[in-house]
Amino acid sequence: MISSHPIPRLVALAFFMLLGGAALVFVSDHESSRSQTLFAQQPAPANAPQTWEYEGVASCAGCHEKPSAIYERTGATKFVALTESHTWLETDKHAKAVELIDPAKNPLAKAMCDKLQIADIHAAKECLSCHANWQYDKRTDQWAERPKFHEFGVSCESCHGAASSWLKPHTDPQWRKLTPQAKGELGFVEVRNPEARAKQCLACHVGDAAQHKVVTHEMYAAGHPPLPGVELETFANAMPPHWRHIHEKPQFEFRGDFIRANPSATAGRELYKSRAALISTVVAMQTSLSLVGDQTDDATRLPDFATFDCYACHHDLQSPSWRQARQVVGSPGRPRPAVWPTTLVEAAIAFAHQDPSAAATATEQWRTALAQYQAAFSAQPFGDPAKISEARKVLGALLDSILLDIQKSPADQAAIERAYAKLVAPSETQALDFDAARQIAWALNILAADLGRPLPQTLADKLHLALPATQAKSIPDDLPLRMKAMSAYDPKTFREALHSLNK
Amino acid sequence: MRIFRNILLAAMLCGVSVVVALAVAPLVAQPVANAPPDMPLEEIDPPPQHVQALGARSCASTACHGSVHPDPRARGANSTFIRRDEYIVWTDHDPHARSLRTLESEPSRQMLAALGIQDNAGKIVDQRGFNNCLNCHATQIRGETPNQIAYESINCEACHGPAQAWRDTHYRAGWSKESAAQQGFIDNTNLTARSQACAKCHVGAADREVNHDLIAAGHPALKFEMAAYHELLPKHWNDAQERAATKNFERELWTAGQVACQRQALDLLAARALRQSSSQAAKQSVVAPAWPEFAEYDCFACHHALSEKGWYSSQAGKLNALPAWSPWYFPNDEATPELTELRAKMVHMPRIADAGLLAAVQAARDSLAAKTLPLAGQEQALAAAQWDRSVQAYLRLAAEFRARQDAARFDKAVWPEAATVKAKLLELRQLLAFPTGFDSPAAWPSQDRLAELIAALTAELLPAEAAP
Repeated sequence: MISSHPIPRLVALAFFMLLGGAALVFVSDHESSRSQTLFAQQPAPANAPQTWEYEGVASCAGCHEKPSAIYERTGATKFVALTESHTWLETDKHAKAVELIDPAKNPLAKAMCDKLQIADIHAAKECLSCHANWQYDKRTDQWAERPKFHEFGVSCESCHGAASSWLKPHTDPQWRKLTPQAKGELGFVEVRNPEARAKQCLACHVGDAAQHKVVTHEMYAAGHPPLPGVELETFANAMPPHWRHIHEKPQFEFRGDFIRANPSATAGRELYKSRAALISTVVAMQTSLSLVGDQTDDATRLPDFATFDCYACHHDLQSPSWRQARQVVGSPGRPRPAVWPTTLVEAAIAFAHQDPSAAATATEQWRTALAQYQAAFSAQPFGDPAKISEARKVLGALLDSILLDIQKSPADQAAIERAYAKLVAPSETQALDFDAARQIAWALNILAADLGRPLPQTLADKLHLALPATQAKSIPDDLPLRMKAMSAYDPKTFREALHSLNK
Repeated sequence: MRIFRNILLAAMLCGVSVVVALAVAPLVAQPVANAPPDMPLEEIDPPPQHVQALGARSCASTACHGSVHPDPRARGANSTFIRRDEYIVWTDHDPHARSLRTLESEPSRQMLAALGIQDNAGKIVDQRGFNNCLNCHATQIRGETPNQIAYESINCEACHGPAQAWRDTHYRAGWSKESAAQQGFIDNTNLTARSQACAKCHVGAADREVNHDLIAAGHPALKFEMAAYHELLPKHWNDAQERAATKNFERELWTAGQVACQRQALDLLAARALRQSSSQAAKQSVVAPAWPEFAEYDCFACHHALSEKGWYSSQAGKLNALPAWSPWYFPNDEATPELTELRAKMVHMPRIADAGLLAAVQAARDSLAAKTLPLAGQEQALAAAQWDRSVQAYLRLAAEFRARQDAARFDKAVWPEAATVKAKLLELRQLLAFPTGFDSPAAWPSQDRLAELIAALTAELLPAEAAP
């Protein structure tokens, strides 16, 4: 009876011991009516809360810090290691996200606060929206109360969702049977699904104006390190991961149910990393599109400069230089959006299509739509708002269909081969700046690992591919190295290096 | 742009680096091949009555301005003779004589293609855009038959006025300044007129401008300072006589240049802004109307490589998130409220060039006409680590230095400190010069030393303006 009981087994056990059988019957009757609704995957009631409360890291750490002997024996650790909050707290840089911006602890933060005239960093919503997930709701134009334990920075609920409604149910093994949609109705974010994960990460790592998660040009000018291009699988692997993929877990209770309920999280089987990388890149482009849209929709106001590719303007003037040699769409000298989110999309298309002619059609559609988008930016300085809006619609719909195509197609060796081939042979007109080159190199590392090939490490040093992830590495210390690599970057050499991989 | 730099040296479309490199040093004129200007012919119908220019050859007879050697009597401060080899100085030494060649060069072809002015087959597909080039790189002259026009490089008439009405009169007795003006002759002995003639192209105007599109396509940014460019120009007139006859020639030239450039720069800004607010102006524009016009701004506000200790962000404690409206022509705009107001409007890069902005430009222009000229800029150069301001301060000091040299030469004034001042000027120039391989101040080595030098040289050369 207990094993199928909806409330956590340990709690049930306690009740059983304390209150005896009669009390148990009462409790179970009461709980089962609620849990049946939950676990029968029926739609949430209309009055379900739209916002969820933060419970704080302490409410996670009770279980996820260290597996207890009891959890070992119940088999819970087969499904979840129960070391997650420990990994996060001890090694993951996200746990230091607030400490990093505290003027008392970081000289760069001090300089930034001085320049931006921020008197109290713990009240700076526009900083803490990313550095501690202080939430803003665009619909109500309201900031939520600051998250509990915000001094822990980007913590469990920043990514997994505020836990007030799912904290209790998620401790039951029955939870594994639920679909991501049912969990989502309780505020749980299904980060196992690469698409959902990418949306969650990129809201900060690219930006989301609707949530006030935007690094503005003022912040950059005050000293915020430039947000690098993100190849999400590489970034996730460097965090380091506090999770295991389904294929890395031993047999656990309700495994079959879990796989049936979570097709997106389990697709690709052991080749899931390549698939996740390519899905993430499409989401990165989508995120970039909507951020740009939020900035350029208003024709009367200038977009924030941070909307554009930093390096379109910020470079020393040198000649001859690759900048003058490259092909530009439209008028030279007009700021354009960042290039890197576009870089891997053709590989994602190749991955999604077994049929070469379907792939060719989809690629052509993408190139046309992208060219229109870029032309909208060169139509006038800072772009023509109406043309950008039109081009965004076309591009957005196209990216949606690319995601669907990836979901429909098998993520097998052949699909990865197609994507790999695309990456090592970029078209002559494809823009390859430093961040774009890093996207390709990172993605190649992921794909090559899945293909069982030696990693093409030749590029690693020149592109400074190693990330300053984990608490052992400092972003301010790493930044000069990244900048140096960027200044020395030459797309011609990079193309040649790719060409040698193509043989 | 290394190729470009060579062309630049020859073409005297001096990038600032060239000015900085040579303005103090005695001029070493770059020899220019002795080639007659190219004359691409264009048939037009009806006959081009409006073209009054006759071409450089009409000046070049041996007895007039085409003598192979200068007239020996035209030497020295007291001579009133003309050289008679003006045409030869121009063809052999003056980069203006090659302005059309520059336009026909490979880098120019690439620029024309990038700007969509010329197609891959070499056909001009945007005549208006090409006219923008021709208006500075060429002089339109009469062709050999009545219905032909031709193009010549920047020739005699580009600066002295089209000669149809005065070619046959200007050497006769009784030809006065008044009749000259009536016949379209430009009196370049007047330094204001001279500066205006130069500024029209070297700063730009509504029908001839180097905007950011052109710069991004490869054209050097225009940063003109009259006295420095004048120093570099191979003189086809008796320079010593002019200097001796004009009290404080260099200072007058510098002042006339500043005034002409400021007016020209504001007129250009007005034209650029008007194109955005008036569809009529946009339709007539020679360049693709673009607003905000990035060429109005300090190049290096944006064009600096990002680094956490870069020279641009090294201005401690200051937030520098907005590009400055270029202080090149207005190094001391704080002295004029109208200019301060205009700068405040420009710094936000207004998306719309509205009536308020146009009014601010007009007010600033009027304030210049009212002769409250904001010419000094030494203190501002010290206060702001802006390359534009610092270089303008340097160029002014260099002009003052030459004025002192002239005084020593013509008035026999004793100036024992000349050598030490020159050494300091050279050091300042060295500090401001772009590092090898760069066209921007990729490093900003020592602001302290920079400020020290500007202050010391100001005290020496401009005692009235030296900071207390």
